[in-house]
Amino acid sequence: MNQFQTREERGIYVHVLPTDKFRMNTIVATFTQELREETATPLAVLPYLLNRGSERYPTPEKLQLALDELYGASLSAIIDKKGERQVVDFSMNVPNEKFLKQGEGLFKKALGILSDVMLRPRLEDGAFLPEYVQAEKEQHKKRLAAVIDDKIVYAGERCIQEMTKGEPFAIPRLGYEERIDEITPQSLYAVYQELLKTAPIHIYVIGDVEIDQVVQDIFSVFNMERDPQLHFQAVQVQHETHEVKEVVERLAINQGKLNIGVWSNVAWESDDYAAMHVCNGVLGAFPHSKLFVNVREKHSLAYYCMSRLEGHKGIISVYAGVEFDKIDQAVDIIREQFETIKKGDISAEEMEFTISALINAYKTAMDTPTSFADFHLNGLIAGRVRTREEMIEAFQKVTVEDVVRVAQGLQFDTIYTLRNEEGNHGA
Amino acid sequence: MREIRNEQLKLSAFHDQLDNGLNVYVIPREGFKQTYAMFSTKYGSIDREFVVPGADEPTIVPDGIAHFLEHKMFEQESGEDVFKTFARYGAMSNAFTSFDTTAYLFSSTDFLDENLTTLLNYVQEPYFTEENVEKEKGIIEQEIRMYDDDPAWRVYFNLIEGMYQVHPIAIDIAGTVDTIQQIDKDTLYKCYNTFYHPSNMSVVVVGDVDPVHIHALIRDNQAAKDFKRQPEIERIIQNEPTPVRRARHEEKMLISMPSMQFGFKDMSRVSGKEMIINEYATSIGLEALIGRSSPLFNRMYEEGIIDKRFSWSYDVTPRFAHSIFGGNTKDPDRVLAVVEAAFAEATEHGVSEEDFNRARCKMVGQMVAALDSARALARYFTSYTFRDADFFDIIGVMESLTLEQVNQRLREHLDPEMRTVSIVLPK
Repeated sequence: MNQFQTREERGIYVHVLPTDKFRMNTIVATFTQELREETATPLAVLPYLLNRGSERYPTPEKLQLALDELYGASLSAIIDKKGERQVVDFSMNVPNEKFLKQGEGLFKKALGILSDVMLRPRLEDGAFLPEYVQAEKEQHKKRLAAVIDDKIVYAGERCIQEMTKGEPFAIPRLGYEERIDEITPQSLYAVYQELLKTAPIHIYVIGDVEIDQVVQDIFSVFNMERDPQLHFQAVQVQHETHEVKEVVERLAINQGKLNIGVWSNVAWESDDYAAMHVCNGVLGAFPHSKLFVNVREKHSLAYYCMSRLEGHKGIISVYAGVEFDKIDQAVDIIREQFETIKKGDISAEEMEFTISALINAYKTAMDTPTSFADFHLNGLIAGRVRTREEMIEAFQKVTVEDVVRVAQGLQFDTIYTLRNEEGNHGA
Repeated sequence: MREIRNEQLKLSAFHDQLDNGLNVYVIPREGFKQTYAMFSTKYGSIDREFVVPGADEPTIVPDGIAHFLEHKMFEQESGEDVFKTFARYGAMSNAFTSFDTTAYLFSSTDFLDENLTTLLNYVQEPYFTEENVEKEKGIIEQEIRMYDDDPAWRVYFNLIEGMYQVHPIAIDIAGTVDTIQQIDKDTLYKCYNTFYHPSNMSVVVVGDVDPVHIHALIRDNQAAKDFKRQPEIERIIQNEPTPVRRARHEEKMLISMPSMQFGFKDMSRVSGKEMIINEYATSIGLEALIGRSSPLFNRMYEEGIIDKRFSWSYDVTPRFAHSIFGGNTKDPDRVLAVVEAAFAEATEHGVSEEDFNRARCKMVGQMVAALDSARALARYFTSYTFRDADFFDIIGVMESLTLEQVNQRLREHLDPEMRTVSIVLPK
């Protein structure tokens, strides 16, 4: 069986995929909310705060001890950004006791810990525990500051921010540094209450479980009154670029980073989505793609030069690490590759390789439980749920004409480069 | 073909050693979409001095050559890049070089026979020319510069350098921009011919596959090639003196917060089951002492000097061993002071029975979790094979370890004389 069985009550959706393929059982529980300036920062802090401890496991130490007793069960709580939505995401992994000498009812115990962390936080005077809020605000400042530590990720995010300025998509996943100090135990608790009451809640269970039992267990734990939000603002996908923006930033680094943000004007829900994936594949997603072959193999300009498709917003991001004085040459070669595709200069091999690579990637993802949940939730958020099998079928039907057609709509928007400090030609 | 069975994990590996010395392991995982195959040689960056079988004098090769060789294996005489050959059959391919292993791998969901044949053939058909060797230098230079901007890599490598005085592990795996200039095609062939002999290699295949079929395919493929039995390669590593090279090293980079690692050099030189006992006695001890639910970890977390990503690891092979602890911290010296006191206490009194049981339980569970990843399974299996040990022994060893053994190992290992610290500070 490859599809989820879904049951819904009060805006809580339980999706169960019974399978005995894995040695672990997985639960993913998510709250979805609109990405907004005012709530982005507190929402980003929230999952980390909840994961500090609950009524029953009041300290991080006690919580971790409880997890360790379940044979190293892992619980992670993070903030995710999917298109113009923020997703508070809890993931739990617990071994199936069939493969252990001891350990009984591990799954049910794991569900107990997860629901406790999500629903019964440590409170004081009707708000979150002030010490925890304070500590987590400090941690969050560090988390935000650390974005610059990975120059490849940093450059990628900066390029997207410049490109989507003024749109909700530009709001960083982790929120804003300057808004952390506004957070109080009361304000954060209010944001949490709102989330519990209104956010669609999707809970995925993948593993060796019995559907009716799991559904019953989950609904009996998640038994609060709710008024779920049903409609969300549509994501702005269509864009017209008039002039390519060039942004240069300078830092003390050893290697230049080149990022190009390109509008595809095609997003997840579009019938052209599969064709856009193939287009991005021919361009730069794989080692056989035009970018890798030309920028790396032919000209030895880079160790990596790739492109990535962001499915919710319809952005193709090109990224490469290049010697400072060769950045312009790399930009020219990259431009040429776009032109080549637009002209239809795509070999039968490039098409065939790309389609097989995409099919391989989609099938391979079926070996990872969390990626089932992630893919399904992406569909829900984009407003069109597809199965991986449907995507695979769609890839098989994509023709060169389809790729050329969608490529015609590609528009360079922002060329972002990270260079070394002026006067410092260290490289 | 011999079956190695682990009843508890309900898992088997089918092993065969071919006439040319190649070890082949097939691990069936029912229901998996992907097959993950790894063709590895026991050859890495630490093999810089050796006696070519049949020669009298030792050879010393330029730093970074094992990694350079890995890059060059992708080139074929036909002119077709191997990435492309794999792409033809929808496979994702890659390779990596570590201190003691070079591995070539692919993951595919279709055309298994074709992909496996491609893997076996390209790794056994080197094609180096003066021209293609020169061209690769530009790409590797960019790879080296990319790592120069990566604080996590810098802090790690500075630590390794600080630990070892003469051991070649202290040489960066990729070499330097200067040392790679000394690499030429003749030296590459010399290394290739020495270390890429089947008797120094293994193939591990994980997936929903038929072991009989896979073994037959590999056997036939190898039988058609002409490999003479080769005597054991003499690898020369100078005796590493006991003390560390330096107690502390600092570097400045453009980052948000200090990043630190510290660790203990370990002079244990064991292999096989003895190594597994050593490895897990140490690991369970370290998990009990400083793992996420330990009192020590939580004291530092509460004090706000570490975050949840602070972690430990213990690497052990017959040719080197060390532990590493680290993460981001606003106050590296405070972390060191707290840890120093706690480690001194632990070597004096040992960890408690309770902490020992908890740590063991967690580590058994984590081993079960690894079985759900074809990639993790293939990598674990290969690395234990290369250390003459059996991956399936691990859980049994963990279950039989006693608190006394663990405390004894902690006393031996946490010797303050063997400690070194590496810190990357913000500029």
